[in-house]
Amino acid sequence: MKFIRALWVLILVGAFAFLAGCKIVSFQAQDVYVTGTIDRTFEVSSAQSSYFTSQTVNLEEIFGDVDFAEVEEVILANIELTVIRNNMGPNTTASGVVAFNVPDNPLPSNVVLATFSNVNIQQVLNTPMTPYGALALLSINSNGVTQFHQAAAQSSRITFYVSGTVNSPPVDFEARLRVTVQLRLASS
Amino acid sequence: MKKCILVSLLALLLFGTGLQPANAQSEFENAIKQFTGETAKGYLQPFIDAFGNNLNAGLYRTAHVSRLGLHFYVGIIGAFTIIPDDDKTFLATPPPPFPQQPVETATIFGDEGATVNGPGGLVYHFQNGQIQGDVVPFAVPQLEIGSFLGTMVKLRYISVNYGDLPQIRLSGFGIQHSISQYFPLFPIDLSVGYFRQTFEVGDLISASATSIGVQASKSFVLLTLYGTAAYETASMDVSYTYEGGSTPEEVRLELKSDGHIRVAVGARLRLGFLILNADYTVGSQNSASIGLGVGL
Repeated sequence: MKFIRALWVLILVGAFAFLAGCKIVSFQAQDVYVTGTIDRTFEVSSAQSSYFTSQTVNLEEIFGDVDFAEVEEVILANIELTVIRNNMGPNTTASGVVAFNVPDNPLPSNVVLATFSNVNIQQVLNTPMTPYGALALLSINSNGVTQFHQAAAQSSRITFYVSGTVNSPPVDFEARLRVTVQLRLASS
Repeated sequence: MKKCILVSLLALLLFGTGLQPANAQSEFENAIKQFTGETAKGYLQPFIDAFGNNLNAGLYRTAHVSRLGLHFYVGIIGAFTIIPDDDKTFLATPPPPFPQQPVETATIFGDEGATVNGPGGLVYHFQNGQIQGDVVPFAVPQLEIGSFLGTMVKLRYISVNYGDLPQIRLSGFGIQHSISQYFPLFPIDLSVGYFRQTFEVGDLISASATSIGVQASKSFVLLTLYGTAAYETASMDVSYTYEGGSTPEEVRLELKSDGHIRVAVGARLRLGFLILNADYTVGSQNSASIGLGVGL
């Protein structure tokens, strides 16, 4: 009997030591990243060689399940522009910018996020222009990205602008802008 | 609203840790939605392994099954699976158009997720780990009834409502059959066992675990020393909506814990009707279990 008691004391002490030395899992979670994509189509038309179009999006609608009171940071992950319709000649080239502003607390001027230059519209039809890969047709403005992070953290309504010039007016095409955004949510 | 089902599972798993279900559900759901299918598997796999490991813990405490007579036991089984460091990271590929090169990032048990830098300050963050700690706990009631022709039946069942979650139900059925009864005067008790468990959260989750194994034990008055070896599998269906793309994408995953061998050693003490046992398991994830119950 003494042996059995001693053995059990040993087992229980060992079990206690084991559990005391380990941290039981819990939801003392770290921040959560949530990814969403802003996807808007821009009808671009102009009798002149320049064009300008805009759309306002609300991040709270893009991230419907997210409580924006928990948003600690808004991060830009990707920008992609795709010409999905071209009613201009096969040799028409375009240059332009993707910019943003905050309608509820406007910045002094629209902030450029990305630029493209002398792109043959017909040749890139239905091919996304991105800042990645060997054919990176979008050039990212790092200052603009930084300002986007700051501005979007303050206001969930963002206006995006697609503007620029073509070499042979009139302008008539349709472009799809996709902006991938990550929200960093504070852990509770 | 479609709920991420694993939240429910975690909520049950973490009973008693001070977890607030509504917050946990929201955070975990958000964390999972970050992933496309293949990446989600890597992120969640250690959790599936630990869950299956815990489900299959504490099934046996002796290999002795009387050929005929009344055997009754009811008790609570507590299990604790240790999370190894290897289960805290995995290799994941970022979503296009980021370079499709795997990077090491955090699993659900890990620390901070990896960061992939793009041109001009663009950046993609993999999800951070969401469960911190070294040990995953679990508890479930178990009932045993026998014996007939050296066979006993084991049952596990729990059905609870927790927070806003759908009804959570765990049920299990198994049998244990004496082998040593066929070998008169065999020096130790030997038995074989089969146990299958299912875990459901409403219509949203369906998980299962199966264990097939052999048990050996030797009794000394009040004390029984025992060992088990079992082949085990576990699987879980997960479904959620991935919202990282331009349109929401329904993701359905069938997560499996590859079959593995569990080897456990333990001891049982019987004090009248009170039965106390503890064992330690060596496997892909090590674990310990304790049982406290009453029996005849």
